[in-house]
Amino acid sequence: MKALLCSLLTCLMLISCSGSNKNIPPTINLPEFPGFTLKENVSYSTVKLSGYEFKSADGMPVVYNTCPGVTSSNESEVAEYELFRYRLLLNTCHALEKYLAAKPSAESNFPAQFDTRLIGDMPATSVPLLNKTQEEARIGKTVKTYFAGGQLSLEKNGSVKVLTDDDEISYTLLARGDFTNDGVEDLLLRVEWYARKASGKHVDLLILSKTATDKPITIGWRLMSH
Amino acid sequence: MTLRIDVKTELYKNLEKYEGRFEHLYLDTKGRVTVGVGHLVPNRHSMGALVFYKIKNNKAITMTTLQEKLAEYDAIVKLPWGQRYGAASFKPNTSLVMQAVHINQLLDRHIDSFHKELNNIYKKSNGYPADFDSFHSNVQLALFDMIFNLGASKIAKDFPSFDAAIKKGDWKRAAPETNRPDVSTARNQYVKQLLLSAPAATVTMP
Repeated sequence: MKALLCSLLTCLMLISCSGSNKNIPPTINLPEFPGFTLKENVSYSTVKLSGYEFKSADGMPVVYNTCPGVTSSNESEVAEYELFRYRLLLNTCHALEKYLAAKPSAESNFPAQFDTRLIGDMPATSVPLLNKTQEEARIGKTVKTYFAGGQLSLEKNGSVKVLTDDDEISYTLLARGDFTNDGVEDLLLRVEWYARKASGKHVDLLILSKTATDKPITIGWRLMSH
Repeated sequence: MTLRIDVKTELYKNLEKYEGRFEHLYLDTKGRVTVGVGHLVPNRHSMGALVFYKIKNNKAITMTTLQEKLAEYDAIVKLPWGQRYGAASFKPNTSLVMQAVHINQLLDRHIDSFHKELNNIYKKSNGYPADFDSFHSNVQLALFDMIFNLGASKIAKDFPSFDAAIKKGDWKRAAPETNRPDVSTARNQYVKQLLLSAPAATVTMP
Protein backbone atom coordinates (compact mmCIF):
# COMPACT_ATOMS: atom_id res chain seq x y z
CA MET A 1 0.00 0.00 0.00
CA LYS A 2 1.31 3.38 -0.91
CA ALA A 3 0.27 6.77 0.33
CA LEU A 4 -0.77 9.28 -2.26
CA LEU A 5 2.27 11.47 -2.27
CA CYS A 6 0.51 14.50 -3.49
CA SER A 7 -2.04 15.60 -0.94
CA LEU A 8 -5.58 16.19 -2.05
CA LEU A 9 -5.34 19.79 -0.91
CA THR A 10 -2.44 20.65 -3.12
CA CYS A 11 -3.30 18.47 -6.05
CA LEU A 12 -6.48 20.07 -7.28
CA MET A 13 -4.35 21.15 -10.17
CA LEU A 14 -1.19 19.43 -11.25
CA ILE A 15 1.96 20.71 -9.63
CA SER A 16 4.96 20.60 -11.89
CA CYS A 17 8.09 19.01 -10.61
CA SER A 18 10.97 19.89 -12.86
CA GLY A 19 14.46 20.98 -11.87
CA SER A 20 17.37 19.32 -10.19
CA ASN A 21 15.63 18.34 -6.98
CA LYS A 22 16.88 14.91 -5.83
CA ASN A 23 13.50 13.83 -4.66
CA ILE A 24 10.74 14.93 -7.00
CA PRO A 25 7.55 13.24 -5.86
CA PRO A 26 5.04 11.87 -8.35
CA THR A 27 2.08 14.15 -8.95
CA ILE A 28 -1.40 13.48 -10.25
CA ASN A 29 -3.82 15.66 -12.21
CA LEU A 30 -6.85 14.93 -10.03
CA PRO A 31 -9.55 16.60 -12.15
CA GLU A 32 -8.82 13.96 -14.80
CA PHE A 33 -9.89 11.22 -12.35
CA PRO A 34 -13.54 12.20 -11.88
CA GLY A 35 -15.49 10.13 -9.38
CA PHE A 36 -12.33 8.45 -8.07
CA THR A 37 -12.25 8.58 -4.26
CA LEU A 38 -8.56 9.20 -3.69
CA LYS A 39 -7.71 9.51 0.00
CA GLU A 40 -4.48 9.12 1.92
CA ASN A 41 -3.26 5.53 2.22
CA VAL A 42 -5.49 4.09 -0.47
CA SER A 43 -4.32 1.31 -2.72
CA TYR A 44 -5.28 0.59 -6.32
CA SER A 45 -7.88 -1.96 -5.27
CA THR A 46 -9.47 0.18 -2.55
CA VAL A 47 -10.07 3.33 -4.62
CA LYS A 48 -13.83 3.66 -5.01
CA LEU A 49 -15.41 4.82 -8.27
CA SER A 50 -18.71 6.65 -8.26
CA GLY A 51 -21.06 7.50 -11.11
CA TYR A 52 -19.74 5.00 -13.64
CA GLU A 53 -22.84 3.46 -15.12
CA PHE A 54 -22.98 2.09 -18.64
CA LYS A 55 -25.64 0.32 -20.69
CA SER A 56 -25.24 -3.21 -21.91
CA ALA A 57 -26.23 -4.19 -25.47
CA ASP A 58 -29.71 -5.10 -24.19
CA GLY A 59 -30.10 -1.82 -22.28
CA MET A 60 -29.35 -3.13 -18.79
CA PRO A 61 -27.20 -1.04 -16.41
CA VAL A 62 -23.54 -2.04 -16.03
CA VAL A 63 -21.94 -0.39 -13.00
CA TYR A 64 -18.24 -0.31 -12.14
CA ASN A 65 -17.26 0.54 -8.55
CA THR A 66 -13.54 -0.26 -8.56
CA CYS A 67 -10.68 -0.19 -11.04
CA PRO A 68 -9.91 -3.92 -10.72
CA GLY A 69 -13.58 -4.41 -11.64
CA VAL A 70 -13.00 -2.38 -14.80
CA THR A 71 -9.65 -3.84 -15.85
CA SER A 72 -10.84 -7.42 -15.33
CA SER A 73 -14.03 -6.79 -17.33
CA ASN A 74 -14.53 -7.36 -21.03
CA GLU A 75 -15.55 -4.51 -23.29
CA SER A 76 -18.33 -6.67 -24.72
CA GLU A 77 -20.14 -6.09 -21.40
CA VAL A 78 -21.16 -2.63 -22.60
CA ALA A 79 -23.18 -1.58 -25.64
CA GLU A 80 -21.12 -0.68 -28.72
CA TYR A 81 -22.08 2.97 -28.47
CA GLU A 82 -20.62 3.03 -24.94
CA LEU A 83 -17.28 1.55 -26.06
CA PHE A 84 -15.31 4.78 -26.23
CA ARG A 85 -16.53 5.97 -22.83
CA TYR A 86 -15.68 2.53 -21.40
CA ARG A 87 -12.18 2.80 -22.86
CA LEU A 88 -11.73 6.26 -21.34
CA LEU A 89 -12.50 4.76 -17.93
CA LEU A 90 -10.22 1.80 -18.63
CA ASN A 91 -7.39 4.21 -19.48
CA THR A 92 -8.02 6.23 -16.33
CA CYS A 93 -7.86 3.09 -14.20
CA HIS A 94 -4.58 2.01 -15.78
CA ALA A 95 -3.28 5.54 -15.22
CA LEU A 96 -4.17 5.33 -11.54
CA GLU A 97 -2.32 2.03 -11.24
CA LYS A 98 0.75 3.54 -12.92
CA TYR A 99 0.63 6.61 -10.69
CA LEU A 100 0.35 4.59 -7.48
CA ALA A 101 3.35 2.51 -8.52
CA ALA A 102 5.45 5.54 -9.56
CA LYS A 103 8.66 6.41 -7.73
CA PRO A 104 10.08 9.83 -6.91
CA SER A 105 12.47 11.09 -9.56
CA ALA A 106 16.01 12.32 -9.02
CA GLU A 107 15.79 14.61 -12.04
CA SER A 108 13.43 15.82 -14.74
CA ASN A 109 14.22 16.84 -18.30
CA PHE A 110 10.68 17.89 -19.10
CA PRO A 111 9.66 21.54 -18.85
CA ALA A 112 7.35 22.55 -16.02
CA GLN A 113 4.72 23.77 -18.46
CA PHE A 114 2.47 21.35 -20.31
CA ASP A 115 1.91 23.38 -23.44
CA THR A 116 1.82 23.41 -27.23
CA ARG A 117 5.60 23.59 -27.47
CA LEU A 118 6.03 20.38 -25.48
CA ILE A 119 3.35 18.57 -27.51
CA GLY A 120 4.93 19.75 -30.77
CA ASP A 121 8.12 17.92 -29.71
CA MET A 122 6.31 14.66 -28.89
CA PRO A 123 6.90 11.74 -31.25
CA ALA A 124 4.18 11.61 -33.95
CA THR A 125 3.61 7.97 -33.02
CA SER A 126 2.14 9.18 -29.71
CA VAL A 127 -1.22 9.67 -31.48
CA PRO A 128 -3.41 6.55 -31.06
CA LEU A 129 -2.43 4.33 -33.96
CA LEU A 130 -4.91 2.59 -36.24
CA ASN A 131 -2.45 0.34 -38.06
CA LYS A 132 1.14 -0.39 -39.03
CA THR A 133 0.95 1.96 -42.03
CA GLN A 134 0.21 4.91 -39.76
CA GLU A 135 2.98 3.90 -37.40
CA GLU A 136 5.59 3.57 -40.15
CA ALA A 137 4.64 6.94 -41.65
CA ARG A 138 5.15 8.62 -38.28
CA ILE A 139 8.33 6.97 -37.02
CA GLY A 140 11.17 9.49 -36.62
CA LYS A 141 8.83 12.46 -36.84
CA THR A 142 7.48 14.76 -34.17
CA VAL A 143 3.91 16.00 -33.86
CA LYS A 144 5.12 19.36 -35.19
CA THR A 145 6.76 17.90 -38.29
CA TYR A 146 4.24 15.15 -39.08
CA PHE A 147 1.19 17.38 -38.65
CA ALA A 148 2.86 20.43 -40.26
CA GLY A 149 0.11 22.90 -41.04
CA GLY A 150 -1.97 21.63 -38.11
CA GLN A 151 -2.98 24.02 -35.33
CA LEU A 152 -1.90 23.44 -31.74
CA SER A 153 -3.82 25.13 -28.95
CA LEU A 154 -4.02 25.00 -25.18
CA GLU A 155 -7.53 24.17 -23.96
CA LYS A 156 -9.30 25.49 -20.84
CA ASN A 157 -8.81 22.19 -18.99
CA GLY A 158 -5.05 22.26 -19.64
CA SER A 159 -5.14 19.76 -22.51
CA VAL A 160 -3.38 20.51 -25.76
CA LYS A 161 -5.40 20.13 -28.96
CA VAL A 162 -3.91 19.38 -32.36
CA LEU A 163 -6.26 20.18 -35.22
CA THR A 164 -5.71 19.11 -38.83
CA ASP A 165 -8.11 18.88 -41.79
CA ASP A 166 -9.00 15.28 -40.93
CA ASP A 167 -8.08 14.82 -37.28
CA GLU A 168 -8.55 16.29 -33.85
CA ILE A 169 -6.04 15.03 -31.29
CA SER A 170 -6.10 15.86 -27.62
CA TYR A 171 -3.17 15.43 -25.19
CA THR A 172 -3.98 15.42 -21.47
CA LEU A 173 -1.40 15.14 -18.71
CA LEU A 174 -2.57 12.64 -16.07
CA ALA A 175 0.50 12.33 -13.87
CA ARG A 176 4.24 12.91 -13.60
CA GLY A 177 6.70 10.61 -11.88
CA ASP A 178 9.31 7.96 -12.47
CA PHE A 179 7.26 5.23 -14.15
CA THR A 180 10.21 3.54 -15.88
CA ASN A 181 12.39 3.05 -12.81
CA ASP A 182 15.44 4.94 -14.10
CA GLY A 183 15.35 7.82 -11.65
CA VAL A 184 14.26 10.30 -14.34
CA GLU A 185 10.81 11.85 -14.42
CA ASP A 186 8.34 10.62 -17.06
CA LEU A 187 4.95 11.92 -18.15
CA LEU A 188 1.76 9.86 -18.15
CA LEU A 189 -0.57 11.10 -20.88
CA ARG A 190 -3.99 10.30 -22.25
CA VAL A 191 -4.10 10.91 -26.00
CA GLU A 192 -7.45 10.97 -27.80
CA TRP A 193 -7.99 10.93 -31.54
CA TYR A 194 -11.22 12.00 -33.27
CA ALA A 195 -11.93 11.80 -37.00
CA ARG A 196 -13.29 15.21 -38.02
CA LYS A 197 -15.13 13.96 -41.11
CA ALA A 198 -16.33 10.66 -39.68
CA SER A 199 -17.29 9.09 -36.35
CA GLY A 200 -14.00 7.35 -35.49
CA LYS A 201 -12.41 7.97 -32.11
CA HIS A 202 -9.69 6.25 -30.19
CA VAL A 203 -7.79 6.71 -26.95
CA ASP A 204 -4.42 5.57 -25.68
CA LEU A 205 -2.43 5.92 -22.47
CA LEU A 206 1.29 6.58 -22.80
CA ILE A 207 4.40 7.01 -20.71
CA LEU A 208 6.75 9.55 -22.30
CA SER A 209 10.40 9.67 -21.29
CA LYS A 210 13.21 12.16 -21.80
CA THR A 211 16.52 10.93 -20.46
CA ALA A 212 18.49 14.14 -21.09
CA THR A 213 17.61 17.71 -22.02
CA ASP A 214 19.17 17.32 -25.46
CA LYS A 215 17.56 13.93 -26.14
CA PRO A 216 14.25 13.50 -27.96
CA ILE A 217 11.09 12.46 -26.14
CA THR A 218 10.46 8.73 -26.46
CA ILE A 219 7.50 6.47 -25.74
CA GLY A 220 8.39 4.24 -22.80
CA TRP A 221 5.10 2.34 -22.71
CA ARG A 222 1.62 2.46 -24.21
CA LEU A 223 -1.61 0.69 -23.35
CA MET A 224 -3.11 0.10 -26.77
CA SER A 225 -1.61 -1.93 -29.57
CA HIS A 226 -2.86 -1.80 -33.15
CA MET B 1 -27.62 6.28 -57.56
CA THR B 2 -30.07 4.49 -55.29
CA LEU B 3 -29.09 2.52 -52.27
CA ARG B 4 -30.61 -0.96 -52.13
CA ILE B 5 -33.20 -1.35 -49.39
CA ASP B 6 -31.47 -4.39 -47.83
CA VAL B 7 -28.24 -2.36 -47.53
CA LYS B 8 -30.06 0.64 -46.08
CA THR B 9 -31.91 -1.51 -43.52
CA GLU B 10 -28.64 -3.06 -42.38
CA LEU B 11 -26.97 0.37 -42.19
CA TYR B 12 -29.79 1.65 -39.97
CA LYS B 13 -29.33 -1.31 -37.65
CA ASN B 14 -25.55 -0.95 -37.54
CA LEU B 15 -25.47 2.80 -36.97
CA GLU B 16 -27.93 2.52 -34.11
CA LYS B 17 -25.71 -0.12 -32.58
CA TYR B 18 -22.55 1.99 -32.96
CA GLU B 19 -23.97 5.41 -32.07
CA GLY B 20 -27.02 4.58 -29.94
CA ARG B 21 -30.42 6.15 -30.58
CA PHE B 22 -31.61 8.96 -28.30
CA GLU B 23 -34.68 11.10 -28.80
CA HIS B 24 -33.40 13.76 -26.36
CA LEU B 25 -30.34 16.03 -26.47
CA TYR B 26 -27.20 14.83 -24.73
CA LEU B 27 -23.50 15.71 -24.51
CA ASP B 28 -21.03 13.23 -25.96
CA THR B 29 -17.69 12.47 -24.25
CA LYS B 30 -16.24 15.66 -25.78
CA GLY B 31 -19.10 17.82 -24.55
CA ARG B 32 -20.70 18.23 -27.98
CA VAL B 33 -24.49 18.49 -28.14
CA THR B 34 -25.88 15.42 -29.89
CA VAL B 35 -29.30 13.89 -30.68
CA GLY B 36 -30.81 10.91 -32.52
CA VAL B 37 -28.29 8.49 -33.98
CA GLY B 38 -25.06 10.38 -33.27
CA HIS B 39 -26.26 13.57 -34.97
CA LEU B 40 -24.09 16.48 -33.83
CA VAL B 41 -25.75 19.84 -33.19
CA PRO B 42 -22.74 22.08 -33.85
CA ASN B 43 -24.21 25.26 -32.37
CA ARG B 44 -27.45 26.65 -30.90
CA HIS B 45 -28.53 28.08 -34.26
CA SER B 46 -28.62 24.55 -35.69
CA MET B 47 -31.51 23.81 -33.33
CA GLY B 48 -33.78 25.83 -35.63
CA ALA B 49 -33.65 23.14 -38.31
CA LEU B 50 -34.50 20.30 -35.94
CA VAL B 51 -38.04 19.24 -35.07
CA PHE B 52 -38.66 18.73 -31.37
CA TYR B 53 -41.81 18.03 -29.39
CA LYS B 54 -42.78 18.73 -25.81
CA ILE B 55 -43.49 15.72 -23.66
CA LYS B 56 -46.61 15.22 -21.55
CA ASN B 57 -47.36 11.96 -19.78
CA ASN B 58 -44.38 10.43 -21.58
CA LYS B 59 -45.85 11.30 -24.98
CA ALA B 60 -44.51 13.80 -27.51
CA ILE B 61 -47.46 16.09 -28.05
CA THR B 62 -46.74 19.64 -29.16
CA MET B 63 -44.24 20.94 -31.63
CA THR B 64 -41.88 23.42 -30.00
CA THR B 65 -41.05 27.02 -30.79
CA LEU B 66 -37.54 28.17 -31.67
CA GLN B 67 -37.26 29.81 -28.23
CA GLU B 68 -38.04 26.53 -26.50
CA LYS B 69 -35.48 24.68 -28.59
CA LEU B 70 -32.82 27.28 -27.86
CA ALA B 71 -33.61 27.14 -24.15
CA GLU B 72 -33.22 23.34 -24.24
CA TYR B 73 -29.85 23.68 -25.99
CA ASP B 74 -28.67 26.33 -23.51
CA ALA B 75 -29.67 24.14 -20.57
CA ILE B 76 -27.98 20.99 -21.84
CA VAL B 77 -24.73 22.66 -22.87
CA LYS B 78 -24.16 23.78 -19.26
CA LEU B 79 -24.27 20.26 -17.84
CA PRO B 80 -21.15 18.32 -16.86
CA TRP B 81 -19.93 15.79 -19.42
CA GLY B 82 -17.16 13.29 -19.91
CA GLN B 83 -16.37 9.70 -19.06
CA ARG B 84 -18.92 9.58 -16.23
CA TYR B 85 -21.86 10.77 -18.29
CA GLY B 86 -23.50 8.40 -20.76
CA ALA B 87 -26.12 9.67 -23.23
CA ALA B 88 -29.01 8.21 -21.23
CA SER B 89 -27.96 10.10 -18.09
CA PHE B 90 -29.03 13.41 -19.71
CA LYS B 91 -32.66 12.38 -20.11
CA PRO B 92 -33.86 13.71 -16.71
CA ASN B 93 -32.45 17.14 -17.65
CA THR B 94 -34.38 17.40 -20.91
CA SER B 95 -37.97 18.34 -21.71
CA LEU B 96 -38.04 18.00 -25.50
CA VAL B 97 -37.88 14.94 -27.74
CA MET B 98 -37.49 14.17 -31.42
CA GLN B 99 -39.92 11.76 -33.00
CA ALA B 100 -38.76 8.62 -34.77
CA VAL B 101 -39.61 10.00 -38.20
CA HIS B 102 -37.38 13.02 -37.71
CA ILE B 103 -34.53 11.00 -36.23
CA ASN B 104 -34.75 8.75 -39.30
CA GLN B 105 -34.67 11.77 -41.61
CA LEU B 106 -31.37 12.88 -40.06
CA LEU B 107 -30.04 9.35 -40.37
CA ASP B 108 -31.07 9.20 -44.03
CA ARG B 109 -29.24 12.44 -44.69
CA HIS B 110 -26.14 11.08 -43.00
CA ILE B 111 -26.25 7.84 -45.02
CA ASP B 112 -26.95 9.72 -48.27
CA SER B 113 -23.96 11.99 -47.78
CA PHE B 114 -21.59 9.05 -47.26
CA HIS B 115 -23.25 7.18 -50.15
CA LYS B 116 -22.47 10.13 -52.41
CA GLU B 117 -18.83 10.09 -51.28
CA LEU B 118 -18.56 6.34 -51.84
CA ASN B 119 -20.00 6.74 -55.35
CA ASN B 120 -17.42 9.41 -56.11
CA ILE B 121 -14.52 7.24 -54.99
CA TYR B 122 -15.46 3.71 -55.99
CA LYS B 123 -16.11 3.84 -59.70
CA LYS B 124 -14.81 1.98 -62.71
CA SER B 125 -13.24 5.15 -64.10
CA ASN B 126 -11.13 5.39 -60.90
CA GLY B 127 -9.72 1.90 -61.46
CA TYR B 128 -12.14 -0.11 -59.32
CA PRO B 129 -13.74 -3.28 -60.71
CA ALA B 130 -17.18 -1.64 -60.88
CA ASP B 131 -19.13 1.40 -59.74
CA PHE B 132 -20.05 1.39 -56.05
CA ASP B 133 -23.77 0.73 -56.65
CA SER B 134 -22.88 -2.39 -58.65
CA PHE B 135 -20.81 -3.92 -55.84
CA HIS B 136 -22.24 -6.87 -53.92
CA SER B 137 -24.22 -5.66 -50.87
CA ASN B 138 -21.62 -7.19 -48.50
CA VAL B 139 -18.87 -5.10 -50.10
CA GLN B 140 -21.05 -2.00 -49.97
CA LEU B 141 -21.71 -2.54 -46.26
CA ALA B 142 -18.01 -3.06 -45.52
CA LEU B 143 -17.09 0.14 -47.37
CA PHE B 144 -19.83 2.05 -45.56
CA ASP B 145 -18.46 0.82 -42.25
CA MET B 146 -14.96 2.00 -43.14
CA ILE B 147 -16.06 5.43 -44.36
CA PHE B 148 -18.40 6.02 -41.40
CA ASN B 149 -15.50 5.31 -39.08
CA LEU B 150 -12.52 6.84 -40.87
CA GLY B 151 -13.72 9.17 -43.60
CA ALA B 152 -12.73 8.92 -47.25
CA SER B 153 -9.30 10.54 -47.13
CA LYS B 154 -8.08 8.40 -44.23
CA ILE B 155 -9.02 5.16 -46.03
CA ALA B 156 -6.90 6.16 -49.02
CA LYS B 157 -3.99 7.51 -46.95
CA ASP B 158 -3.74 5.10 -44.03
CA PHE B 159 -5.28 1.90 -45.45
CA PRO B 160 -3.44 1.59 -48.81
CA SER B 161 -3.38 -2.24 -48.77
CA PHE B 162 -7.14 -2.29 -48.24
CA ASP B 163 -7.63 0.16 -51.10
CA ALA B 164 -5.33 -1.85 -53.40
CA ALA B 165 -7.24 -5.06 -52.67
CA ILE B 166 -10.59 -3.37 -53.35
CA LYS B 167 -9.18 -2.05 -56.65
CA LYS B 168 -8.36 -5.60 -57.64
CA GLY B 169 -11.76 -6.84 -56.53
CA ASP B 170 -9.94 -9.16 -54.14
CA TRP B 171 -12.38 -9.08 -51.21
CA LYS B 172 -10.59 -11.88 -49.36
CA ARG B 173 -7.35 -9.93 -49.36
CA ALA B 174 -9.16 -6.77 -48.34
CA ALA B 175 -10.85 -8.46 -45.34
CA PRO B 176 -7.91 -8.51 -42.87
CA GLU B 177 -6.93 -4.97 -43.88
CA THR B 178 -10.16 -3.60 -42.41
CA ASN B 179 -9.02 -4.24 -38.83
CA ARG B 180 -9.23 -1.10 -36.69
CA PRO B 181 -8.38 -0.96 -32.97
CA ASP B 182 -10.84 1.87 -32.33
CA VAL B 183 -13.86 -0.35 -32.96
CA SER B 184 -15.00 -3.44 -31.09
CA THR B 185 -13.80 -6.96 -31.84
CA ALA B 186 -17.36 -7.85 -32.86
CA ARG B 187 -17.51 -4.99 -35.37
CA ASN B 188 -14.11 -5.92 -36.82
CA GLN B 189 -15.24 -9.53 -37.20
CA TYR B 190 -18.50 -8.47 -38.81
CA VAL B 191 -16.75 -6.35 -41.47
CA LYS B 192 -14.18 -9.06 -42.16
CA GLN B 193 -16.93 -11.64 -42.61
CA LEU B 194 -18.83 -9.38 -44.99
CA LEU B 195 -15.84 -9.33 -47.32
CA LEU B 196 -14.88 -12.96 -46.84
CA SER B 197 -18.37 -14.10 -47.78
CA ALA B 198 -18.83 -11.75 -50.75
CA PRO B 199 -18.74 -13.47 -54.14
CA ALA B 200 -15.60 -12.79 -56.16
CA ALA B 201 -15.71 -9.72 -58.38
CA THR B 202 -15.51 -10.03 -62.12
CA VAL B 203 -12.51 -7.97 -63.10
CA THR B 204 -11.99 -6.99 -66.72
CA MET B 205 -8.31 -6.90 -67.56
CA PRO B 206 -7.20 -3.70 -69.31
